[in-house]
Amino acid sequence: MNLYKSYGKKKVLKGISFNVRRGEVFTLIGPNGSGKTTIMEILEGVRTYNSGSFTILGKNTGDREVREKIGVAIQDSHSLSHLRVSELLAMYSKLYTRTLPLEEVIRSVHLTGKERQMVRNLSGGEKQLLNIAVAIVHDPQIVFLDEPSTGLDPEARRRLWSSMGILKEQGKTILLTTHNMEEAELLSDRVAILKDGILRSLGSPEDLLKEAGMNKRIDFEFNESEDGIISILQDRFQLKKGHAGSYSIFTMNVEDDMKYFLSITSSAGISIRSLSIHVPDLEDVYFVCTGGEG
Amino acid sequence: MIIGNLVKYLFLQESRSMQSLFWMLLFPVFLLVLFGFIFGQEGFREDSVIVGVDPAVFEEIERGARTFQGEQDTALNFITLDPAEGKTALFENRIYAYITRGPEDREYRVLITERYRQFSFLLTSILDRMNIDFYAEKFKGREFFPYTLELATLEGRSYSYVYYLLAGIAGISLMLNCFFALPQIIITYRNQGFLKRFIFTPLSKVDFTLSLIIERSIVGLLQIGFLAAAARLIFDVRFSINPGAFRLVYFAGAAAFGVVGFFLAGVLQSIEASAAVAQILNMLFMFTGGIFLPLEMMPPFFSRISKINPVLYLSHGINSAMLMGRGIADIKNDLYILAGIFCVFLTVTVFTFRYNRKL
Repeated sequence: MNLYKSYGKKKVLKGISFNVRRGEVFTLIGPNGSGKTTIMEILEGVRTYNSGSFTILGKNTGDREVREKIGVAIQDSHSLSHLRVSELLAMYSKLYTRTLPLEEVIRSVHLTGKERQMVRNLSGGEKQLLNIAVAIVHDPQIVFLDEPSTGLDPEARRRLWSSMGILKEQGKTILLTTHNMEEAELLSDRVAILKDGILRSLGSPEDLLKEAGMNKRIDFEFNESEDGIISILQDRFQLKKGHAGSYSIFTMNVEDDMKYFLSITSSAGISIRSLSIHVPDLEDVYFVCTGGEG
Repeated sequence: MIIGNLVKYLFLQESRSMQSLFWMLLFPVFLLVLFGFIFGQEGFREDSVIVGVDPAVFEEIERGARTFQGEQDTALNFITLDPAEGKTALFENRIYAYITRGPEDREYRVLITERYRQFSFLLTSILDRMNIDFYAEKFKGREFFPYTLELATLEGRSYSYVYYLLAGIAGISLMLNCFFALPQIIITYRNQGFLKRFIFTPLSKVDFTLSLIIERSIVGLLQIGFLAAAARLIFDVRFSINPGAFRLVYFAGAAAFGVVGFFLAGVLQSIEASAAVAQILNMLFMFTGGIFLPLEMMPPFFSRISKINPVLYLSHGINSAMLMGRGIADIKNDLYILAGIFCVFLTVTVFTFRYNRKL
């Protein structure tokens, strides 16, 4: 691919390359402005790019045959909100030569029973599920999902993930962007971490953890603000600031590093409010790769 | 197939919105009723109606006019001759009329030309103001007026202001549909990502453009139907429809204004900008198109502007085909102009319209 894209003088993509395998869930994660959506839109054929090349199913993205085989769920507020769910899906399905039975589509996204409901009366979560339904109504081979879980409550998110699981089981290739690390870890076969238009890391969530050199994460919290000791810890560890004065450090050798931590805090007479050891997750890898940008 | 499907659902969407229904169906009727009652549907008299043309008498008038050339600027200002047509007399305020010999000796009939017969209500008021008796007395016994000048009651239909207004509002409704509603709909769809979604589908831009224009045309036809029903019920308007000519002028107008709407949606990015531009265009076209008041009542400057106003041709075409029962040959100029607008703006729109926001 080696994709480059600039907006004026601002370089958004600086030579991005990756392959997506048939049937896998490939997730792009990264801070705002890292280039995730730009990549998606270039692949979808919405946005132009400055240099590089790519193919989808061996063809150009503008090819009619490709359009028949890709489905895109975008963050659309459903302008046709006065249509019923079944009507909206029927409208989109007739744009394609091949379509799935609407009942099957509706069942895949857990909207059974909502067929006659007006789109405007659906909840936010149901609208996102409908977005996915619109994207898969023609049984595409590749589905693009751009931040599908944004703004959803936990229950709606679970339903969405379940639907995405069904798509995965059906063998569809899914390109996903998200800010939700739990979502990425749960659903992805492979994850690409982007920052400043550069691909920082690529692999399965497990591989990324290994690659980042992470074995354990030590979470701690002091009773009082202790900037001095934090500074010392920062010199030795990758340190992540959490909520309400909590911190995490990442380690490959938890025993030695824990001893070090306890020795310097005790010699400095620092009172520790909480201390725990965890298995790191994708969010920790993301933190390390991006420097903690949200 | 694809277009029909899209038209169906786009129409369903609009027809289920109370706001759309108000603007689509009630607002044009509201305008008709408001202006119809304000200006009155009784602005005509039975003595100002249309009959045929009597070319011979114009030669007579022409001779008379030449004789009284010196007095034209004063007393005879209301009669001049148009050499190009040779048989048309020009009254003050530019109301075209024919003058023909009456059934009695020494009698003229004042007849409005067919082209302007919807202005009959104006002519009668002008003639009232002109004080026919005064002119008749002034020229009594002189060559130009050897006859008594009087208005004659003739057979035929009379046309009120509402007839004139109805065609205008039908035209303006279609224009509002295209200049105002269409860009608003497109920009809303675009900003909300609905149009962007079509990029990923096999739907072509042409199919989408046609679908929206057809959907707007159907809305426009419903508007005209509602308007016609209201005009019939409230003002007792009688229609004389030439279906072929009406279909042609209506769809020519819908296509012409539709592509202008697409053009606006292509160059404007926000609802606010679209509303502002559409308001300016609507006001400009409404008044220079003589929708509510005949151009003859306006200063000459407006008359000149009106020549390039497409609404004028659309409302004239609708008037001719829907109310006067005229055929395609009678509205061919209107059709040419609307087709010209369609071609020019379609060409421009192909290059400027986009499904998504400027990227």
